[in-house]
Amino acid sequence: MNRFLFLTFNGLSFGAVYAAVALSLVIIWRATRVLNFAQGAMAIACAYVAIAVSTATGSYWLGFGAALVAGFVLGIIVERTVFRSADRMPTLNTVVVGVGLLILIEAAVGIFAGAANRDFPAAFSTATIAVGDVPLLSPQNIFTLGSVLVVMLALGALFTWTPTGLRMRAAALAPEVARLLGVKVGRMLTLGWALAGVVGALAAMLVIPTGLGLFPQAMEGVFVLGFTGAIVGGLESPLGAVVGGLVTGVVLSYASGYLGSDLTLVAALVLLLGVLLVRPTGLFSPVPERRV
Amino acid sequence: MATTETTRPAATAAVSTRRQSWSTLVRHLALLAGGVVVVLLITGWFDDFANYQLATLGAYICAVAGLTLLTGTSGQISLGHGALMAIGGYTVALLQNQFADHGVTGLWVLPLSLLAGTVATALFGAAFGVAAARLRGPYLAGATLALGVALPSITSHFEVFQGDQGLFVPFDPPPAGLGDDFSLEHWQAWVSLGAALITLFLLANLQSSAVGRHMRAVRDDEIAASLAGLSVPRTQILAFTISSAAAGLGGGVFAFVLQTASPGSFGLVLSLTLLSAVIIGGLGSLTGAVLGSVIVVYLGTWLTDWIDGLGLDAGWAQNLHDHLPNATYGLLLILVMLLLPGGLAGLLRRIPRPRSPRRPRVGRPDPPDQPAAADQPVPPTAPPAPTTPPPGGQA
Amino acid sequence: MTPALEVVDLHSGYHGVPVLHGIDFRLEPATITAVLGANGAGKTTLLRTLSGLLPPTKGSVHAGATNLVTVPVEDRVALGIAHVPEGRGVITDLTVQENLRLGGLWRGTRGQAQTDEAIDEVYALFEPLSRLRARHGHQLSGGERQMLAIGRALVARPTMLMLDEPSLGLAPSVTARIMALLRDLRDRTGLTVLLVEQNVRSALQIADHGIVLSLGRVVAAGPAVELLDDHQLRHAYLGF
Repeated sequence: MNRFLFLTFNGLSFGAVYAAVALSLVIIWRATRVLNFAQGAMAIACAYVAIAVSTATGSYWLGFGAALVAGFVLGIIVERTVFRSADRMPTLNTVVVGVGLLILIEAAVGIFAGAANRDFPAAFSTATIAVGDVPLLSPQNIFTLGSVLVVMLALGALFTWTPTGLRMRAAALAPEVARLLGVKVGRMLTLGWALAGVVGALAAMLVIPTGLGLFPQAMEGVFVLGFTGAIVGGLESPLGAVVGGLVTGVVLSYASGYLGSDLTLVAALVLLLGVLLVRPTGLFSPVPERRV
Repeated sequence: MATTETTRPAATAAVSTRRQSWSTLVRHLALLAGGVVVVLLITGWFDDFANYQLATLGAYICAVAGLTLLTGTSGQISLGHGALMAIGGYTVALLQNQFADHGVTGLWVLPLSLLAGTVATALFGAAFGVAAARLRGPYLAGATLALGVALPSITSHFEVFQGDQGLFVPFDPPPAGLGDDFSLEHWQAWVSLGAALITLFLLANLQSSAVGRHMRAVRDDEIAASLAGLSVPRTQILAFTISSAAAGLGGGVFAFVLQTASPGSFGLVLSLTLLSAVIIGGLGSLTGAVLGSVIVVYLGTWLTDWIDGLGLDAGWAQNLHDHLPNATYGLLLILVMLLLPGGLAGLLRRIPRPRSPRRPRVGRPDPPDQPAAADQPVPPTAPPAPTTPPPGGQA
Repeated sequence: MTPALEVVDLHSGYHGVPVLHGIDFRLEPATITAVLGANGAGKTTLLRTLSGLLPPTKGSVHAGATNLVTVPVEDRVALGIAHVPEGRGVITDLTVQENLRLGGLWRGTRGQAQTDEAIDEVYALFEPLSRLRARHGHQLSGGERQMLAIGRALVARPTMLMLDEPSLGLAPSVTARIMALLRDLRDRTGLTVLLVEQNVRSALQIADHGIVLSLGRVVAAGPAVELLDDHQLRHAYLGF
């Protein structure tokens, strides 16, 4: 039972990271109908920015902040350049462009920072606190869960209550109509990418200290798991993305704990295929009628 | 290598189609024969290192040709073909070890292992293809990405695969009849390029056959194709199976050339490199598969040689040496997709003829809204299947 | 009197397929003009070109002194031009209140009070909507959606309103009410209305002027009563 509790909380903590990745993917998907395969690579680049700034200034939190800013900026740059005409590109092309960007960014990081695995400090202690005699969460885990929750709530508030959020939703749901109503759709889509970039950078900053280590390919697995979370929850629903991420984290934690940690990715593959084949729109999106 | 169809009056259509397919077959056989001659000449001329590179090239060509069939002709993207190569590679490795342990030798041993690797991968591909046939666009890409990332990790779970270290691949030395100074690399190049030529020949015939047409029909318009009587899932599963077989052969050859099968050589990087070769060479084109493979095998070497020759300080030189090739592939991938969707093969096709022939649809932007479409409510782009609900747009 | 809209030699089309071949007309302020013609005549294309969704290949569009062709779509609502597109364009995932708010967002935070006022006016004008504030677009009936679409356009307090087939799919009584509303707005606020309609009879009955398009050209234009009386024209282009 203790093991089960520990695995559950551990899974939730990792799940929060996958939820963040999933959320960033869903934001971009809903805005521009692009599944950004470079999202993980963009995030790792931001983590490298964090290290550089931390090392230069001696402050962890300045580096953390720099990563988030870098995420925002990188999101804008990528959307304005590579995915500028995404709405006119067939899906295959957007996937390939994303993959190309993934390769390019990871290689660029390797060129400028080297591929050696680097130590990456955690913001808080990673020692697990026990409640009674059950080891549950470490302060770092709590920080992870907390910061993802805060980001979620902030984005939720932005989308639901602010004029900008309304503009963004309109731009994503009905771009032509939005234009007629005076919404600067292009700007709103770019903003969506920028916010997704921030969320992705946050995910990287939270997951790398967990023993993953910092190296250019570090976010590849996390991207796959975040993608799985987004699929489980449904690409159309930001809330679904978050829940999907948490579910993925917990399920994989059990798989890792009871089956063996080297089968985690295989378990993810099985989960992914299972959801895609049984309920492809995810748990939270409405099931559509069949066309034709 | 795909033929363009000519139109004939119906009465002579049947006869002329058969005549056409004969002439295509003859043409492919001629190309095969020519290829054999070229291979013999070049490998005889090259030194050991160059032959080793050719051997690597051959392995890539098999897999890239298979992937271009899948993604180009059949319209199903795969980011996991490296994992399929792994299946072929490990099958060959395991079998060769078994043969060696039991003292079995002979010229037929290696081809048998390669065949077994091909079949094993084809079977897996058929099974995975059943799932993949129900997926489209980014969903399929994500699922194959997961495959590409996850499958190599199985090697650390089962002891037979010997984890990260991998398996050594033993095989017989080149046949005595070729002479004592016939080098190993020369032999590897022969085997590898031989496999590549066979793969290209078979896939070329497939592409110009009815099956190839079915694949293109399904790719271009599933609904129309199924209304015309084609089974969409069956066509797609067939494409996946054949593509996997080619990848499995490529993987087996790869293991033979590297003399090892380890998870590191079949990781996500390989899958993405294969895709790069397909796109840069030209989606759906076997000529493109060869061109793309040449690029990914040789461009890296040229770049690293050039970097090493620049005499930069050690840290930079090492980083550039390790990563500039990939950076180049990534950049090329983006540029090709945005500016030159037909890849190198498309570029070559355009040169002799001012009027460009039918290019793979997937390389082109969707046709613009027709006047009638303006009367429809937006959204413009169709959501990918599994059918997603129309974006909460308008009413 | 300066015309509310002056269109000179307008050409437009889609990626090499020309649809409009030299359209000329002018709209006087505080008038209702109906654009009529068979399917494919170019009515919707005309509206889309006028609102900026489709760039013209040739010709000019002037609203007062402003050359609209240089003004991006998003900026036209600030000039007082509102377009209710074909299909209405109600955003079904948003609520009625959110749809209406959207209509005034272009004013920014400084115009918030004006927008709130305008929204209240719309609720007063369309009573049923005021009871449906929190409902999502997909929960509304056709008539309610049409009210919402027009109401949303009115939140911008436009001086010129373009509507593409507002009666589509609506019961005759609802259509009549909407037409009456347009006439009322014209009289009360001086609104200029450009109306594309399939329902020719009801359109010409409330319109002051009519423009008949065929194959991308203006084949007839004039006061609505004259067009109604011209039987030959009606048979040839309007189907009755």
